[in-house]
Amino acid sequence: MATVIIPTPLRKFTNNTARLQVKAGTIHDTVQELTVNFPDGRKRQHPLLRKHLYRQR
Amino acid sequence: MIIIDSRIRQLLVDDALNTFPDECCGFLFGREERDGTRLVIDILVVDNSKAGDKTRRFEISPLDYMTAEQHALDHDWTLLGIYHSHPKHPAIPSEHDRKAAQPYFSYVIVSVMDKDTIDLKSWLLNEQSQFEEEKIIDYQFT
Repeated sequence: MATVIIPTPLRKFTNNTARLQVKAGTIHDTVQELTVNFPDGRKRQHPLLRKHLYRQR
Repeated sequence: MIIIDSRIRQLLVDDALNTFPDECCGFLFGREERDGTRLVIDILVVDNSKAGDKTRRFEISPLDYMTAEQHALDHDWTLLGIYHSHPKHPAIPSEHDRKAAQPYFSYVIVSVMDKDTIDLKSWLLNEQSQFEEEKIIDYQFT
């Protein structure tokens, strides 16, 4: 388990959660797990959180 | 609006003067009220990690950014934003500042024209990712 500190500007997407324990073993999986932990309503992942975590291509 | 008392203001100005003609930078910690009013309680000075010319640019290392987030959690403060200086330039954010800015953070700019001509302004990104000036309230301890 690793503890992730959510950057302050992103906490509006994480219900003000500052720290989160994740099971992921890689950076990629950690970021993926974050978007699943804080989904947006009916969607499985949070699109706004994704937007700020991933570089657009 | 953001409340910057005389002690905090002096810390920001001292860093800007000590670092002149390079840009200084650091973090602002404090509290945010329900109405959005921000009160700066303390600052953390960090190195300008920009490689090369530091007179027109600043950069904060990822490690310093992590330290600042941890510092805020340790003190039960909110990481309110980032300050930097504009040596010989007004306290107006550049396009480079805007592109590097994050939502939510207050960006305080300390303009140092010379040691007697100093100006502070604070800026926040709006929903369209454009900077809007955030009113600074000076508070003098008596």
